[in-house]
Amino acid sequence: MTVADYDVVVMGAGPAGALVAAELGAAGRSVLVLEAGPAAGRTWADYQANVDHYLAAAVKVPNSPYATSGDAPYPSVLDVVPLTPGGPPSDGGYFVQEGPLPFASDYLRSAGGTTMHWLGTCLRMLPADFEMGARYGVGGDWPLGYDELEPYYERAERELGVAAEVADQEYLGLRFRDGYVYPMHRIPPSYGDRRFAELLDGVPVHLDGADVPIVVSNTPQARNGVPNPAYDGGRGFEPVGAVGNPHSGLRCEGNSSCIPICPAQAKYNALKTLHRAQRGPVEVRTQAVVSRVVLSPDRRSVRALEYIPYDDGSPPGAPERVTAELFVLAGNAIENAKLLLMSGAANGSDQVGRNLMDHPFMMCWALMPESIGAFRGPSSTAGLEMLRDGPFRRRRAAFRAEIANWGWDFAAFAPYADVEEGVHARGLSGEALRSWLARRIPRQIRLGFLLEQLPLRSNRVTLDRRTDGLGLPRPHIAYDLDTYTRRGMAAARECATQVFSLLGASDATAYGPTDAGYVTLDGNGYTYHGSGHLVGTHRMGDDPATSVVDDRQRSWDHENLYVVGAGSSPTIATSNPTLTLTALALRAADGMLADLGEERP
Amino acid sequence: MTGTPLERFVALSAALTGFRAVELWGTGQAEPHLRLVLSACGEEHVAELLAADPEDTGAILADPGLGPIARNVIVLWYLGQWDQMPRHWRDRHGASPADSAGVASAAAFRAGLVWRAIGAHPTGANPPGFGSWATPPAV
Amino acid sequence: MIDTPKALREHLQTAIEIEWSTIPPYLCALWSLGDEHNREAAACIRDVVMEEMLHLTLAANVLNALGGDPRIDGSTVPRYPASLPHSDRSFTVSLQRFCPEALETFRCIERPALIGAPPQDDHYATIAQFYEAVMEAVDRIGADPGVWTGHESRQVAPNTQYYGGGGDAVVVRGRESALEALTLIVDEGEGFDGSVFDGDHEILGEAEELAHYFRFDELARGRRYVRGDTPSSGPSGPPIMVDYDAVLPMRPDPRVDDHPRGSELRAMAEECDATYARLLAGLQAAFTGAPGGLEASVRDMWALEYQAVALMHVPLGDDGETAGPPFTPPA
Repeated sequence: MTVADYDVVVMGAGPAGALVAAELGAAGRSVLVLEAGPAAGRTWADYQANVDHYLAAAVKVPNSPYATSGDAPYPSVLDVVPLTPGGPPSDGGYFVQEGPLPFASDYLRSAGGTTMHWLGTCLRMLPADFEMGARYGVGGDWPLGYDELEPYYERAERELGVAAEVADQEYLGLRFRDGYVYPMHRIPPSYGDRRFAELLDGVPVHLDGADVPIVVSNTPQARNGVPNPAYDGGRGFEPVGAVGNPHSGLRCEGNSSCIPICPAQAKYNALKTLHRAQRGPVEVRTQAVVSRVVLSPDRRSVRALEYIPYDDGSPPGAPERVTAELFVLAGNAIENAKLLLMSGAANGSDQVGRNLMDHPFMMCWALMPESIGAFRGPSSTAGLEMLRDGPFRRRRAAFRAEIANWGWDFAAFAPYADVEEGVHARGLSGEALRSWLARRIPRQIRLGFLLEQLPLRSNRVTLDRRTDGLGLPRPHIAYDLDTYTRRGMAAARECATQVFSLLGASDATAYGPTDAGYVTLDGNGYTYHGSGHLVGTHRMGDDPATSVVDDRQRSWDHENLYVVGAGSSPTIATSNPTLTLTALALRAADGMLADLGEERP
Repeated sequence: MTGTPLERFVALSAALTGFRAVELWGTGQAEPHLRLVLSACGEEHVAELLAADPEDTGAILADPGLGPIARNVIVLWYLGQWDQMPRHWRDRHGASPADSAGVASAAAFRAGLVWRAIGAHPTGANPPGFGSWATPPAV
Repeated sequence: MIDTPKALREHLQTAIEIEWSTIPPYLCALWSLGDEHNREAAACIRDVVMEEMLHLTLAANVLNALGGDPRIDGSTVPRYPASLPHSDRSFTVSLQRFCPEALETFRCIERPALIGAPPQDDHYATIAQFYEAVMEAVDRIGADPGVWTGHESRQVAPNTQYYGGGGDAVVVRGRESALEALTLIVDEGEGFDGSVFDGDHEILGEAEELAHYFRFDELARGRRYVRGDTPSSGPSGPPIMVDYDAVLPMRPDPRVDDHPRGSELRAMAEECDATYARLLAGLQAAFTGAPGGLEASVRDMWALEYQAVALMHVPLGDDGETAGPPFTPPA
């Protein structure tokens, strides 16, 4: 038997891949991480260059700070266009989209993955979220429950550095170990959050024939704040600063640009975990696109990964093969599925690529009667979480709402559009312009609803005949929003109407048929955007006939292949997926260590 | 009419933006902004703009030739971005290759006056410190 | 010789004044570096400033533990140019932009004590010698538990504030914790504890961080120290690129009176001073019973930066120099 190149090869240096590498490396296992994107940001100078790139970008979308490459392309929200029913697919971006609706999310192929531009929201899933099938007869159940994942949530909260108070999070059945505290105290609620709480807390919204009292909840977030001395049995917590400048980012400075880049690196990104990983025998190769999972002749195991090294500007190198005892795919729901389909691997269930989900993100915005000081602080520091679960889930999607701190930002291109309107449409200048902006923008409020989607076989990623710069197929996406989710959107819109009314705010929400994500239900129109939450294409389950991986995210078909990330989640529920995928990655890493057996002498 | 073209540009910009001249100097963008306006709109038109009475911005803004430049100057100061001159202006006065839409520079974005006008700070720069967002707004 | 608890408290007040007096000059050099260039140099100075803030906090904690009343206000902060408080006045500290002269001053401020240099409780040659005298007194006078009369509620506690990589506050309850706090100040700053300036001592040694003197020395020489380097060898590591052309050309020792009454520029300088006064008032409150108030002072420090940098962009005349933050001691 030949000796493998490494104990483990990992595809993807995002949060799941970096963490698996760190855990295995810490146990003495040799690991190679193959990252499709560039290393950009791993030195402080590179990272600051990304910040400058963002500042100078005309349109400050989530991927605006980061380099692009035709050899490892990724989607941009700027690619999302309206689709014509029955018309040709849209292929202007990386995705080829056949619709009927556009899949509206982006991601990043880079060391650090999409955590480079995430917001940092770290809500746990509710116990009910694991049992949607049993409780509500929709969506299906997870092969594991909240209590099994709970210890991993604790470890994930350490890895990501989560700031929150347990007392704020004990709702809808969420339970914590006795005496548990988060690593850091909660991030201070924004002034707007406090005004919302004063005006709304305890007042009911009336939805689905029931009164639900509003609770303005501080959001757990992977953002450095004040460490809690009681953490870890009184040992406390040391925040992790910036990669390449560990004195930076030890506390959030209020740069108000979490999405798309935290200049201080006070917000967690997976470069931090990657940096930790490299204390162990972990090698990271960037600009290395995995192009094939090579199976053994009996198809029971993976023999090698094949990858294409590239260097922008020169022709790509010849594919190289690397062997290992264990293989881990940690691309994301799209890239993992694409590679498995390209390789004809792990798909005995015919579920690979299916059940693609996102949180359709529906914004509602309004003008408060008073200034709440918009455009200060992290993008969101609080949310409305009380509608994440309830009997209504039998018939319509649950949702949470983030309370935005940045006015009408993505919803109406504030403050840029306001300035243009003031100068060009209203003909204002001088003091009149200045005071008009001052009276208007600080009063802007926005709710962002994250709607649950059910897993649908027809929402899927397949391979398109069109190829990228390396000649690899581009993802072909079929996507729709079912009535369950649309009903949720209608309820969310109604919720926003009531909330704005309680706040005394004048509603300015506007959706139109020319919006790329415009959908209707019962004659009413709603517009969704993407949340960047890529979920569901390699679902986990307890039956090889209906799932791709088991509850430790090991492929049913190939004994030494793990497929990790939010793609493994059977349902999307209503929490932002990174904390859960981090917890699942830790659980998978435990499984890998068990598979590998005792550490070699 | 007194002072250098740069001084006159700042005086006019103060009147157009509602900020004190010293604040505009303090952004460090007076010189690059003037350079950009000159290259996008041409020396002749800018000279005419700078010759106008900054006390009478109403007349400047109403002028079919100078008004569009003045409005673009306001947007440049407020957002750090240059909007392409309107079609009718380009047709009549000529189109410069430098007259293309975009953020002038990272520094120009950071210096944008809109953030001061609303009591905030440019996103991604000039952070106000931990917990600043919890304090009552100044604007 | 510091021979009474009262004298010891006076010396700790002097320590507070020394620590603060270094901060405005460092800030002027730091803020003049601009936003996009010289990030490496800026990171070096920023680290030093964070540590000076920690040292200020530690000195206040020791004084508070001794039942003293730290004062940081118009009567105790310098008007530049100034000598270090109670020093031998062998050099003068000015508010300057980042330039070789400023770095030379910074090296004078942070100069390690010569080997065998005696403790000096007044007219000191180096800050290290001053602290040696203070620590000797804490060791002797502080042996009497009766002198530690301060209330713990006045202490700035660990974890509540942050000082970059400079470490954390130490709650001072008595002699041992006081010596711990003072040792941290000296180790990070001038470094006398074993790191004598004898010409062939390895600078990095076991420590991960350079003492302040050597960090400024790196900037002055444009090169990093690496393991194995000594004061006589000088730094042999990678170069530190400094683009002096990108430095904002602030005229040294700016004053409000540089600008005519009624001018916009004078108003702007006065606004900057108002923020400075608020910052000092916040520190004063934080060190006399409201330690949580330090968080607001950190925010004032950010606000002061933006006002100071704006002044540094405003041209003063035809010579190309610009205005700057006056750091006027509040009335």
